Amino acid sequence: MSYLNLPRISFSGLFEADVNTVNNDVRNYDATVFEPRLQTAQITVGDHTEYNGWWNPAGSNRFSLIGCAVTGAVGPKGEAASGDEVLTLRLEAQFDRTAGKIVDLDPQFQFASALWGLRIGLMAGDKVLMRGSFYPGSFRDLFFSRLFDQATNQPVSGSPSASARFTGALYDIAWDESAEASPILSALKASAAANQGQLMLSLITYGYSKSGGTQEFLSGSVIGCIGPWLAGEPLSFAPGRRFAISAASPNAPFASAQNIGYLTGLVTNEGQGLSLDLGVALPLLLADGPGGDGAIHTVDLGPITIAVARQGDTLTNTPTGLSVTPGVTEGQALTPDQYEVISVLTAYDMAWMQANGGVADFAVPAAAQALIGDHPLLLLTAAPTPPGQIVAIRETFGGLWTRADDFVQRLDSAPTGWVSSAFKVWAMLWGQPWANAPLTLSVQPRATGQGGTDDPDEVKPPQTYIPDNNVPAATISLPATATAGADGTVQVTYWAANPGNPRGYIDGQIYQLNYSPTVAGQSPMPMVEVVAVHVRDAYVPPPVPSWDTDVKPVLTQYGNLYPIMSRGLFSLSDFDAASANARLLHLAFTLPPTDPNFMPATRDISAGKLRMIVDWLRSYLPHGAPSGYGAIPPLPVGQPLPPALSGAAPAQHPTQITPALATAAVEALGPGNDGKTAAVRGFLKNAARAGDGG
Amino acid sequence: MLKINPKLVEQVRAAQSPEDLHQLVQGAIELEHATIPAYLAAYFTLKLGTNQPVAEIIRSVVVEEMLHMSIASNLLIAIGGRPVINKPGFIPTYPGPLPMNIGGLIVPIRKCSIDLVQNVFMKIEEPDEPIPIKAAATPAPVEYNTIGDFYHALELKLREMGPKAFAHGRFHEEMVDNTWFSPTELFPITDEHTAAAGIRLIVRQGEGTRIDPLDPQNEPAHYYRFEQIVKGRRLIKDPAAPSGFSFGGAPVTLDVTNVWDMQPDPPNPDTLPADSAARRAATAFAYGYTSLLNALHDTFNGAPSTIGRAMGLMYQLRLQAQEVLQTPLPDHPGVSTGLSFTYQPTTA
Repeated sequence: MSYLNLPRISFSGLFEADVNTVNNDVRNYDATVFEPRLQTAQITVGDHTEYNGWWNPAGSNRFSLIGCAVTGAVGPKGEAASGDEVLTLRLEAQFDRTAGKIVDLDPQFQFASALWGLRIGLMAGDKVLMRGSFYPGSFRDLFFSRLFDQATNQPVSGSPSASARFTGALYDIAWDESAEASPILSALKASAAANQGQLMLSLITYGYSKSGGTQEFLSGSVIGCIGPWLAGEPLSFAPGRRFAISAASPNAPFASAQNIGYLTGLVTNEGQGLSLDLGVALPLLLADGPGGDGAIHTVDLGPITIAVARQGDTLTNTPTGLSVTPGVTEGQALTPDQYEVISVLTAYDMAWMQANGGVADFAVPAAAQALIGDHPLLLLTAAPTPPGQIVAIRETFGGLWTRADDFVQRLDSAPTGWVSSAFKVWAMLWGQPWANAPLTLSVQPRATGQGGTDDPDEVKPPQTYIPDNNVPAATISLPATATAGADGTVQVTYWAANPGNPRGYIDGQIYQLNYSPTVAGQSPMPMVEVVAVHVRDAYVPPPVPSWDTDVKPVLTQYGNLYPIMSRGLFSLSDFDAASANARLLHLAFTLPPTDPNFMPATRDISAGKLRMIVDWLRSYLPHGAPSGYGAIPPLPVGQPLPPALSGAAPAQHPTQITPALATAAVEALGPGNDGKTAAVRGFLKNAARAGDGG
Repeated sequence: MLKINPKLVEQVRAAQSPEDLHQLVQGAIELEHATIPAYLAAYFTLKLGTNQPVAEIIRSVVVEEMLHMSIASNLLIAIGGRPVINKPGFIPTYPGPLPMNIGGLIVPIRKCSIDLVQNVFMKIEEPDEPIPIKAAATPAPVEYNTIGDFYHALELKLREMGPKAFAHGRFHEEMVDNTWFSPTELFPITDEHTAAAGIRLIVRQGEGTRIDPLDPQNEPAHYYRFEQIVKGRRLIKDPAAPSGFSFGGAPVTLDVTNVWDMQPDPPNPDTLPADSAARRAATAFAYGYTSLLNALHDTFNGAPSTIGRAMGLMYQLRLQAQEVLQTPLPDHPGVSTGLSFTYQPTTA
């Protein structure tokens, strides 16, 4: 099911992401060396850069949809929805609350920016026909270098070249009676009613601009879909058939040789239908060269044949474990007798993408139906010598796919003992539950240098160190293996003890937990297909918090990192201002993190520290303090580590990003430098080190 | 003073049932709201960190107008009505007259200036008979009704109706969150006595009394609070002065060099050049303001805890205002894009 199923509506428009960039650099968290200039924009000094607060230090983390409208709709049986009122609706966000927020997990893990507090609505005039809240999903399928610059024939510099997908369930859905007049909305309503009241939103961003002084600054384009969500399915992605790139691709780890990124499909109606989400997969071109219109287009790859291979893959049980061997591989030239055609895609321009949100539905011919259940799906493009075709990208080897659902985690540790959390991994075999799937789990080895500029020539870097990550290894524990149940899923429980402030000036530690099928020869996973955990330092609130020793250090750090507060509202590090605005702060600090007004916007503070601040604020509420702590969670209570995990050395297993691949990928990122680009470089280098045996 | 169409006062007096008062109290909500955009615009144009005394004066009045709007909304709920806050007609057209007003006073959306405070803000808040404080004032003729008369008539009518006026009240839907206002200012309205207390607070905070420019919280009533900006000094108790008060306190100086030169009476954002940064910022501001009205509508229509969301939007609006004011108006060097308080249910 998921939004890949029907009914489905699609939309397009613009988005604005007023991201804060002071916190792109972890060193800016060190209040002892913080300087006012670090709240100003980066400047060029000769041939080099003084990064300061990077390129948007005044960012508010606001995420807005602008001018989004429904562009298409498909009924439950695949029927076009001509004349349906839904085609006239706008997609608006918020409209009775503050803007949603876009934030990273941590300056040392910037690959999972999440949308918090986003509530969307389908509107006719000022009437809201449907509204729903977005599960705070983090983006996945981050596709760097997706956008090519026609003028330079290179990827657009830095993060504007990137595209990403936010997928998440829509909950707390409310319907207006008048929605009944639309057959599509009625069908979506029925779907939600049968599935715990939820639907699913897929939202894809591209063409983001960080060109200060232009009208496009901070904005980009968005396409997406709203479709079903099936009870029991993942909240953050659509399960199904996964296409993966080859490790040998010159565009790895982002895209195939044809520059097609990872994508997901769904076989429907007992093999008679196939829905493919190409929304974040097809390469894009910024037509700013001679004769170009300045707009973003899909790259014309010629006719794209969607097919299923006649030659299957082989999954064998060897003495050393499972091993998969592909029948056909990316880049291979195939003759027409080697595949069955499902459909040929000829018109896939940007208008097409905007109209269907990137998702296309195909009827599967009978010959292909006979194969589709256990043979790899292919996207083929014309070969130099017709009538053959080249495999532009193919389904994962053996149709194997594992993916964690709640892959971004925040965990408060306890002063003594261990606390646990869990993530659920879905194992799929040709899109079906992969019963008893074997998984290997590990903690990533020590990583270094994450969250700085990655620029050896930077001018006046902050005078502090960059903390290492994934250490101490002794305070994190997870099993080395796991086995999926009959339904193809497994809940992996991991444990964390107090890391003991290993990073010094920034709370807690970032741990990267790796998972993959225990299968030799499998397809590479996307670059950041991991579980990222921010384990917060244990913190016991003092009985009577003091401004100077308890409150001020925490609020000063946020004040340093968010100049927008002192410039636009009040200074968090100023006692008079903080106490005078105690009511606002109390409200913001006691909200659930899913509320867009929650403070801090980064949602990176432990319950203990929140309670400490709230205890202090109580004294400054002019009309008395409400009892309790609002939505702040209880303080964690430590427990003994389960015996099976005690004493075990943390498991490690090599990533699939080789040193050579990482080096090539860093090269492909081009010269642009910003938070995401530097973070990706750092990640690749660390992954390469780990893959190289540390 | 704010001159009110006498028919409205007559309608209050003629009311036979609480339902007869619903539209009139809705009018009071609209009136209490209508001053807020004008005051907020002036407040937002004071550059942050400058003009602190002036900013604090205007801000404090805005906050009380929000309180008055809340009290009027609670009153309507208490007599069985349902406040309507989220419709295009709820927002007056600026420049233009205030709701209920017949006096010819035109309220604009302008940057902060002495002229604006003196000739608009003080006119809005003018008491029936201002207390002459070191200045002679001409007693006003009485051939029309004032907003004070309106509220007074309303209080009398509710006392006259007694409990039956509140028979269909949905008191649990009132917003009485004392996070933002003290229990002496914001309290449940459940009968004619609490209704009268609320109404009197509105009048006294706005106008003061005939003998005392201070309101029950010992703050100057709005008229005198604004007058401090015009006089350039704080209002203080002064036993030597005939009225007992004088503008002899600390300086209140409007530093006009630290006021954003905002486009006066900004038009609807869709009149700005397509795809311009000015249009985008102005649209976002108006959308934020409309979102605030939506949140307030929910607050006073069965979900009083939504006030927290509305407060979040108030702070966001302030940030958005600064973004708009930092955006030059196309083809007008040195002039800031205007703050458009218009009904804007779409983001583009």
